[in-house]
Amino acid sequence: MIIFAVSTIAVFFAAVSIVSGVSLALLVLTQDRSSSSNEGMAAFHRHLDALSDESREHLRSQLREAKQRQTRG
Amino acid sequence: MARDLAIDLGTANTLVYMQGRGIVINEPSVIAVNRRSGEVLATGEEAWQMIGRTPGYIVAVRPLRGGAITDFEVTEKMIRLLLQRAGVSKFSRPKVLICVPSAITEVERRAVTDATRRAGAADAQLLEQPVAAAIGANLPIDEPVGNMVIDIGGGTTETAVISLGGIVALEAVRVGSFDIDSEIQSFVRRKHGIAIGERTAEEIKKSIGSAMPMPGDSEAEVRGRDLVTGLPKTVILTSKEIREAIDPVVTQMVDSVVRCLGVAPPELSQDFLKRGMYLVGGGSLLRGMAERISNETRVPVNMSNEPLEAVVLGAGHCIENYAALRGLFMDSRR
Repeated sequence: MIIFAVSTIAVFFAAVSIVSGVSLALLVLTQDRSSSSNEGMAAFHRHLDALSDESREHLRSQLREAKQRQTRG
Repeated sequence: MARDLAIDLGTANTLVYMQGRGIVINEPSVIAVNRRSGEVLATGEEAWQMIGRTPGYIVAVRPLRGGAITDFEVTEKMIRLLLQRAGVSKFSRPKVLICVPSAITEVERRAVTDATRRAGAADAQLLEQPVAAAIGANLPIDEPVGNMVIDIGGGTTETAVISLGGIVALEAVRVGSFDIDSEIQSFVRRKHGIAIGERTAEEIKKSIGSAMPMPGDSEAEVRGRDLVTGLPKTVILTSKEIREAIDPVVTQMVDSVVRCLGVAPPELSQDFLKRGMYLVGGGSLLRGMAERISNETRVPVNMSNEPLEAVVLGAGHCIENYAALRGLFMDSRR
Protein backbone atom coordinates (compact mmCIF):
# COMPACT_ATOMS: atom_id res chain seq x y z
CA MET A 1 0.00 0.00 0.00
CA ILE A 2 2.77 2.42 1.06
CA ILE A 3 4.88 1.47 -1.94
CA PHE A 4 1.92 2.09 -4.25
CA ALA A 5 1.30 5.57 -2.68
CA VAL A 6 5.00 6.55 -2.95
CA SER A 7 5.24 5.46 -6.58
CA THR A 8 2.05 7.43 -7.42
CA ILE A 9 3.51 10.54 -5.81
CA ALA A 10 6.81 9.98 -7.65
CA VAL A 11 5.00 9.63 -10.96
CA PHE A 12 2.96 12.75 -10.20
CA PHE A 13 6.05 14.82 -9.38
CA ALA A 14 7.89 13.44 -12.40
CA ALA A 15 4.98 14.44 -14.66
CA VAL A 16 4.83 17.91 -13.07
CA SER A 17 8.58 18.43 -13.54
CA ILE A 18 8.44 17.27 -17.18
CA VAL A 19 5.52 19.59 -17.97
CA SER A 20 7.13 22.56 -16.23
CA GLY A 21 10.49 21.81 -17.92
CA VAL A 22 8.89 21.73 -21.38
CA SER A 23 6.90 24.92 -20.63
CA LEU A 24 10.07 26.68 -19.46
CA ALA A 25 11.95 25.57 -22.57
CA LEU A 26 9.11 26.79 -24.82
CA LEU A 27 9.03 30.09 -22.96
CA VAL A 28 12.79 30.59 -23.36
CA LEU A 29 12.69 29.67 -27.07
CA THR A 30 9.82 32.07 -27.79
CA GLN A 31 11.56 34.81 -25.84
CA ASP A 32 14.83 34.23 -27.75
CA ARG A 33 13.08 34.29 -31.11
CA SER A 34 11.23 37.53 -30.43
CA SER A 35 14.28 39.22 -28.95
CA SER A 36 16.50 38.11 -31.87
CA SER A 37 14.01 39.43 -34.42
CA ASN A 38 13.87 42.72 -32.50
CA GLU A 39 17.63 42.76 -32.30
CA GLY A 40 17.89 42.20 -36.06
CA MET A 41 15.54 45.09 -36.73
CA ALA A 42 17.42 47.35 -34.33
CA ALA A 43 20.78 46.40 -35.89
CA PHE A 44 19.44 47.13 -39.39
CA HIS A 45 18.24 50.58 -38.27
CA ARG A 46 21.54 51.28 -36.51
CA HIS A 47 23.29 50.30 -39.76
CA LEU A 48 21.15 52.69 -41.83
CA ASP A 49 21.48 55.47 -39.21
CA ALA A 50 25.27 55.13 -39.37
CA LEU A 51 25.06 55.73 -43.14
CA SER A 52 22.63 58.62 -42.90
CA ASP A 53 23.29 62.16 -43.99
CA GLU A 54 23.57 63.43 -40.40
CA SER A 55 26.08 60.78 -39.35
CA ARG A 56 28.24 61.62 -42.36
CA GLU A 57 28.61 65.28 -41.42
CA HIS A 58 32.27 64.75 -40.41
CA LEU A 59 32.87 63.10 -43.80
CA ARG A 60 31.50 66.14 -45.60
CA SER A 61 33.72 68.44 -43.57
CA GLN A 62 36.73 66.29 -44.52
CA LEU A 63 35.71 66.51 -48.19
CA ARG A 64 35.45 70.30 -47.83
CA GLU A 65 38.91 70.42 -46.22
CA ALA A 66 40.37 68.25 -48.99
CA LYS A 67 38.85 70.53 -51.61
CA GLN A 68 40.25 73.62 -49.87
CA ARG A 69 43.70 71.97 -49.71
CA GLN A 70 43.44 71.24 -53.43
CA THR A 71 42.36 74.81 -54.24
CA ARG A 72 45.25 76.22 -52.20
CA GLY A 73 47.66 73.74 -53.84
CA MET B 1 44.84 53.65 -26.45
CA ALA B 2 45.27 52.65 -30.10
CA ARG B 3 43.31 54.56 -32.70
CA ASP B 4 41.68 52.28 -35.25
CA LEU B 5 42.86 52.52 -38.85
CA ALA B 6 41.36 52.24 -42.33
CA ILE B 7 43.72 51.42 -45.20
CA ASP B 8 43.02 51.75 -48.91
CA LEU B 9 45.57 49.27 -50.21
CA GLY B 10 45.44 50.23 -53.85
CA THR B 11 47.52 49.03 -56.77
CA ALA B 12 48.65 52.61 -57.41
CA ASN B 13 48.38 54.44 -54.08
CA THR B 14 48.04 53.57 -50.42
CA LEU B 15 46.06 55.82 -48.10
CA VAL B 16 45.68 55.45 -44.35
CA TYR B 17 42.86 57.00 -42.29
CA MET B 18 43.27 57.24 -38.52
CA GLN B 19 40.18 57.29 -36.29
CA GLY B 20 39.47 60.84 -35.17
CA ARG B 21 42.32 62.32 -37.22
CA GLY B 22 41.50 61.73 -40.89
CA ILE B 23 43.95 60.81 -43.66
CA VAL B 24 47.46 60.49 -42.25
CA ILE B 25 49.30 58.71 -45.10
CA ASN B 26 48.82 59.14 -48.86
CA GLU B 27 51.59 57.81 -51.08
CA PRO B 28 52.34 55.46 -54.01
CA SER B 29 52.13 51.72 -53.25
CA VAL B 30 55.79 51.12 -53.94
CA ILE B 31 58.49 49.58 -51.79
CA ALA B 32 62.24 49.37 -52.40
CA VAL B 33 63.94 46.32 -50.93
CA ASN B 34 67.59 45.26 -50.72
CA ARG B 35 67.60 41.84 -52.38
CA ARG B 36 70.70 40.67 -50.51
CA SER B 37 69.59 41.47 -46.98
CA GLY B 38 65.82 41.65 -47.45
CA GLU B 39 65.84 45.08 -45.76
CA VAL B 40 63.30 47.72 -46.74
CA LEU B 41 65.16 50.74 -48.10
CA ALA B 42 62.30 53.08 -48.99
CA THR B 43 58.55 53.22 -49.37
CA GLY B 44 56.03 55.52 -51.01
CA GLU B 45 57.17 58.57 -52.96
CA GLU B 46 60.88 57.88 -52.36
CA ALA B 47 60.57 54.29 -53.61
CA TRP B 48 58.46 55.45 -56.59
CA GLN B 49 61.32 57.72 -57.70
CA MET B 50 63.55 54.63 -57.74
CA ILE B 51 61.42 52.54 -60.15
CA GLY B 52 63.53 51.52 -63.15
CA ARG B 53 66.58 53.35 -61.78
CA THR B 54 67.97 50.95 -59.18
CA PRO B 55 71.22 48.99 -59.13
CA GLY B 56 70.92 45.21 -59.44
CA TYR B 57 70.72 44.45 -55.73
CA ILE B 58 67.85 46.89 -55.07
CA VAL B 59 64.36 46.19 -56.32
CA ALA B 60 61.66 48.87 -56.30
CA VAL B 61 58.32 47.17 -56.85
CA ARG B 62 54.59 47.58 -56.56
CA PRO B 63 53.54 44.59 -54.43
CA LEU B 64 50.03 44.67 -55.89
CA ARG B 65 49.11 44.11 -59.51
CA GLY B 66 45.60 43.99 -60.87
CA GLY B 67 44.35 44.49 -57.32
CA ALA B 68 46.01 41.22 -56.35
CA ILE B 69 48.99 40.63 -54.12
CA THR B 70 51.85 39.52 -56.35
CA ASP B 71 54.42 39.42 -53.59
CA PHE B 72 53.08 38.35 -50.23
CA GLU B 73 56.29 38.97 -48.25
CA VAL B 74 56.77 42.47 -49.61
CA THR B 75 53.10 43.32 -48.98
CA GLU B 76 53.45 42.20 -45.38
CA LYS B 77 56.54 44.38 -44.99
CA MET B 78 54.66 47.33 -46.46
CA ILE B 79 51.65 46.87 -44.15
CA ARG B 80 53.98 46.51 -41.15
CA LEU B 81 55.72 49.79 -42.03
CA LEU B 82 52.41 51.58 -42.56
CA LEU B 83 51.15 50.43 -39.15
CA GLN B 84 54.43 51.43 -37.50
CA ARG B 85 54.19 54.89 -39.04
CA ALA B 86 50.63 55.13 -37.76
CA GLY B 87 51.88 54.45 -34.22
CA VAL B 88 51.08 50.75 -33.86
CA SER B 89 53.27 48.95 -31.32
CA LYS B 90 53.12 45.87 -29.09
CA PHE B 91 51.20 47.88 -26.51
CA SER B 92 48.90 49.67 -28.93
CA ARG B 93 47.12 47.30 -31.28
CA PRO B 94 44.28 48.88 -33.26
CA LYS B 95 41.49 47.35 -35.29
CA VAL B 96 42.32 47.73 -38.99
CA LEU B 97 39.87 47.88 -41.87
CA ILE B 98 41.40 47.27 -45.28
CA CYS B 99 39.73 48.18 -48.57
CA VAL B 100 40.30 45.55 -51.22
CA PRO B 101 38.94 44.91 -54.73
CA SER B 102 35.69 42.96 -54.70
CA ALA B 103 37.16 40.43 -57.12
CA ILE B 104 39.70 39.33 -54.51
CA THR B 105 40.02 35.56 -54.12
CA GLU B 106 39.70 33.64 -50.86
CA VAL B 107 43.47 33.06 -50.80
CA GLU B 108 44.23 36.76 -51.33
CA ARG B 109 41.66 37.69 -48.70
CA ARG B 110 43.33 35.45 -46.16
CA ALA B 111 46.77 36.73 -47.20
CA VAL B 112 45.78 40.35 -46.52
CA THR B 113 44.14 39.70 -43.15
CA ASP B 114 46.97 37.41 -42.00
CA ALA B 115 49.58 39.97 -43.05
CA THR B 116 47.73 42.73 -41.19
CA ARG B 117 47.32 40.69 -38.01
CA ARG B 118 50.97 39.66 -38.10
CA ALA B 119 51.91 43.30 -38.59
CA GLY B 120 50.34 44.14 -35.22
CA ALA B 121 46.60 44.67 -35.74
CA ALA B 122 44.25 43.44 -33.01
CA ASP B 123 41.64 42.66 -35.65
CA ALA B 124 41.71 42.89 -39.45
CA GLN B 125 38.53 43.27 -41.50
CA LEU B 126 38.07 43.73 -45.25
CA LEU B 127 35.71 46.05 -47.09
CA GLU B 128 35.03 46.10 -50.83
CA GLN B 129 36.40 49.24 -52.49
CA PRO B 130 33.18 50.24 -54.32
CA VAL B 131 31.20 50.14 -51.05
CA ALA B 132 33.77 52.34 -49.34
CA ALA B 133 33.81 54.61 -52.40
CA ALA B 134 30.02 55.04 -52.29
CA ILE B 135 30.17 56.05 -48.62
CA GLY B 136 33.16 58.34 -49.25
CA ALA B 137 31.49 59.97 -52.25
CA ASN B 138 28.66 60.88 -49.87
CA LEU B 139 25.98 59.01 -51.83
CA PRO B 140 22.65 58.46 -50.00
CA ILE B 141 23.15 54.70 -49.72
CA ASP B 142 20.96 54.50 -46.61
CA GLU B 143 17.89 55.30 -48.72
CA PRO B 144 15.88 52.84 -50.85
CA VAL B 145 17.23 54.29 -54.09
CA GLY B 146 19.76 52.95 -56.57
CA ASN B 147 23.26 54.41 -56.18
CA MET B 148 25.73 53.35 -58.83
CA VAL B 149 29.42 53.87 -58.26
CA ILE B 150 32.24 53.10 -60.71
CA ASP B 151 35.70 52.82 -59.17
CA ILE B 152 38.50 52.81 -61.76
CA GLY B 153 41.68 52.00 -59.91
CA GLY B 154 45.23 51.14 -60.94
CA GLY B 155 44.51 47.45 -61.42
CA THR B 156 40.74 46.98 -61.30
CA THR B 157 37.51 48.55 -62.48
CA GLU B 158 34.57 47.89 -60.19
CA THR B 159 30.99 48.92 -60.60
CA ALA B 160 28.49 48.50 -57.79
CA VAL B 161 24.83 49.24 -57.28
CA ILE B 162 24.09 50.00 -53.65
CA SER B 163 20.73 50.55 -51.99
CA LEU B 164 19.56 50.46 -48.36
CA GLY B 165 23.10 50.07 -47.06
CA GLY B 166 23.96 46.95 -49.05
CA ILE B 167 25.27 45.77 -52.42
CA VAL B 168 22.56 44.97 -54.96
CA ALA B 169 24.75 44.29 -58.00
CA LEU B 170 28.48 44.16 -58.50
CA GLU B 171 30.72 43.77 -61.52
CA ALA B 172 34.51 43.80 -61.44
CA VAL B 173 37.24 43.37 -64.03
CA ARG B 174 40.95 43.17 -63.42
CA VAL B 175 41.69 46.02 -65.78
CA GLY B 176 42.76 49.45 -64.58
CA SER B 177 44.81 52.50 -65.39
CA PHE B 178 48.10 50.55 -65.24
CA ASP B 179 46.81 48.49 -68.17
CA ILE B 180 46.37 51.75 -70.06
CA ASP B 181 50.03 52.59 -69.29
CA SER B 182 51.24 49.21 -70.52
CA GLU B 183 49.16 49.57 -73.72
CA ILE B 184 50.95 52.89 -74.31
CA GLN B 185 54.33 51.22 -73.70
CA SER B 186 53.53 48.42 -76.20
CA PHE B 187 52.20 50.89 -78.77
CA VAL B 188 55.31 53.10 -78.64
CA ARG B 189 57.51 50.01 -78.90
CA ARG B 190 55.52 48.58 -81.85
CA LYS B 191 54.88 51.77 -83.80
CA HIS B 192 57.97 53.88 -83.10
CA GLY B 193 60.50 51.20 -82.13
CA ILE B 194 61.46 52.80 -78.83
CA ALA B 195 61.27 51.49 -75.29
CA ILE B 196 59.82 53.71 -72.57
CA GLY B 197 59.41 53.11 -68.83
CA GLU B 198 56.11 52.89 -66.95
CA ARG B 199 56.53 56.36 -65.46
CA THR B 200 56.94 57.88 -68.93
CA ALA B 201 53.88 55.97 -70.14
CA GLU B 202 51.89 57.36 -67.19
CA GLU B 203 53.00 60.90 -68.05
CA ILE B 204 51.92 60.39 -71.69
CA LYS B 205 48.51 59.17 -70.50
CA LYS B 206 48.07 62.18 -68.23
CA SER B 207 49.18 64.74 -70.79
CA ILE B 208 47.61 63.54 -74.07
CA GLY B 209 45.60 60.40 -73.26
CA SER B 210 41.81 60.40 -73.60
CA ALA B 211 38.94 57.93 -73.75
CA MET B 212 37.19 59.76 -76.61
CA PRO B 213 37.92 62.72 -78.93
CA MET B 214 38.10 65.87 -76.83
CA PRO B 215 38.60 69.54 -77.64
CA GLY B 216 42.23 70.56 -77.24
CA ASP B 217 43.78 67.27 -78.38
CA SER B 218 47.52 67.78 -78.59
CA GLU B 219 50.93 66.20 -79.13
CA ALA B 220 53.74 65.17 -76.83
CA GLU B 221 57.46 64.77 -77.34
CA VAL B 222 58.62 61.48 -75.87
CA ARG B 223 62.14 60.27 -75.25
CA GLY B 224 63.04 56.59 -75.04
CA ARG B 225 65.65 54.02 -76.04
CA ASP B 226 65.80 53.00 -79.70
CA LEU B 227 65.27 49.24 -79.83
CA VAL B 228 67.59 48.82 -82.84
CA THR B 229 70.51 51.13 -82.08
CA GLY B 230 70.15 51.27 -78.29
CA LEU B 231 70.60 55.05 -78.44
CA PRO B 232 68.24 57.65 -76.94
CA LYS B 233 65.58 58.74 -79.44
CA THR B 234 62.78 61.33 -79.45
CA VAL B 235 59.39 60.81 -81.13
CA ILE B 236 56.19 62.87 -81.33
CA LEU B 237 52.96 61.19 -80.21
CA THR B 238 49.45 62.52 -80.88
CA SER B 239 46.31 62.29 -78.76
CA LYS B 240 44.57 60.39 -81.57
CA GLU B 241 47.11 57.58 -81.79
CA ILE B 242 47.26 57.20 -77.99
CA ARG B 243 43.45 57.09 -77.87
CA GLU B 244 43.42 54.32 -80.47
CA ALA B 245 46.15 52.41 -78.64
CA ILE B 246 44.33 52.43 -75.29
CA ASP B 247 40.87 51.86 -76.73
CA PRO B 248 40.76 48.06 -76.07
CA VAL B 249 41.37 48.66 -72.34
CA VAL B 250 38.87 51.53 -72.12
CA THR B 251 36.30 49.37 -73.93
CA GLN B 252 36.74 46.59 -71.35
CA MET B 253 36.12 49.11 -68.57
CA VAL B 254 32.98 50.51 -70.22
CA ASP B 255 31.70 46.99 -70.98
CA SER B 256 31.89 46.06 -67.29
CA VAL B 257 29.74 49.10 -66.44
CA VAL B 258 27.22 48.02 -69.08
CA ARG B 259 27.15 44.48 -67.63
CA CYS B 260 26.46 45.87 -64.15
CA LEU B 261 23.59 47.96 -65.49
CA GLY B 262 22.27 44.79 -67.11
CA VAL B 263 22.05 42.87 -63.85
CA ALA B 264 20.63 45.72 -61.74
CA PRO B 265 16.93 45.40 -60.84
CA PRO B 266 14.69 47.45 -63.16
CA GLU B 267 13.28 49.54 -60.28
CA LEU B 268 16.76 50.85 -59.59
CA SER B 269 17.51 51.52 -63.29
CA GLN B 270 15.04 54.41 -63.13
CA ASP B 271 17.05 55.91 -60.29
CA PHE B 272 20.27 55.79 -62.35
CA LEU B 273 18.62 57.70 -65.18
CA LYS B 274 17.38 60.32 -62.73
CA ARG B 275 20.43 60.59 -60.47
CA GLY B 276 23.27 59.37 -62.68
CA MET B 277 26.29 57.22 -61.87
CA TYR B 278 29.32 58.35 -59.84
CA LEU B 279 32.87 57.95 -61.00
CA VAL B 280 35.74 57.59 -58.49
CA GLY B 281 39.35 56.35 -58.53
CA GLY B 282 42.46 57.60 -60.27
CA GLY B 283 41.44 56.04 -63.60
CA SER B 284 38.37 58.27 -63.71
CA LEU B 285 40.71 61.23 -64.25
CA LEU B 286 41.49 60.05 -67.80
CA ARG B 287 40.14 62.80 -70.06
CA GLY B 288 36.81 61.92 -71.65
CA MET B 289 36.20 58.86 -69.46
CA ALA B 290 32.95 60.17 -67.93
CA GLU B 291 31.72 61.31 -71.37
CA ARG B 292 32.56 57.93 -72.95
CA ILE B 293 30.68 55.96 -70.27
CA SER B 294 27.74 58.36 -70.48
CA ASN B 295 27.63 58.09 -74.30
CA GLU B 296 27.67 54.30 -74.30
CA THR B 297 25.21 53.76 -71.45
CA ARG B 298 22.97 56.80 -72.04
CA VAL B 299 23.08 57.42 -68.29
CA PRO B 300 24.46 60.68 -66.84
CA VAL B 301 27.86 60.31 -65.18
CA ASN B 302 28.98 62.53 -62.28
CA MET B 303 32.55 62.91 -61.11
CA SER B 304 33.14 62.49 -57.38
CA ASN B 305 34.58 65.56 -55.61
CA GLU B 306 37.52 63.59 -54.26
CA PRO B 307 38.03 60.67 -56.65
CA LEU B 308 41.38 59.64 -55.15
CA GLU B 309 40.34 59.85 -51.50
CA ALA B 310 36.72 58.64 -51.64
CA VAL B 311 37.58 55.01 -50.79
CA VAL B 312 39.68 55.73 -47.71
CA LEU B 313 37.24 58.39 -46.47
CA GLY B 314 34.39 55.88 -46.78
CA ALA B 315 36.40 53.25 -44.93
CA GLY B 316 37.25 55.90 -42.34
CA HIS B 317 33.54 56.48 -41.77
CA CYS B 318 33.15 52.72 -41.17
CA ILE B 319 35.99 52.88 -38.61
CA GLU B 320 34.26 55.76 -36.83
CA ASN B 321 31.03 53.66 -36.71
CA TYR B 322 32.67 50.24 -36.41
CA ALA B 323 29.95 48.38 -34.49
CA ALA B 324 27.00 49.73 -36.48
CA LEU B 325 28.59 49.14 -39.89
CA ARG B 326 30.18 45.77 -39.17
CA GLY B 327 27.57 44.16 -41.40
CA LEU B 328 29.23 45.75 -44.43
CA PHE B 329 32.55 43.96 -43.88
CA MET B 330 33.35 41.01 -46.13
CA ASP B 331 33.72 38.35 -43.42
CA SER B 332 30.43 39.16 -41.73
CA ARG B 333 28.47 38.68 -44.96
CA ARG B 334 29.83 35.22 -45.71
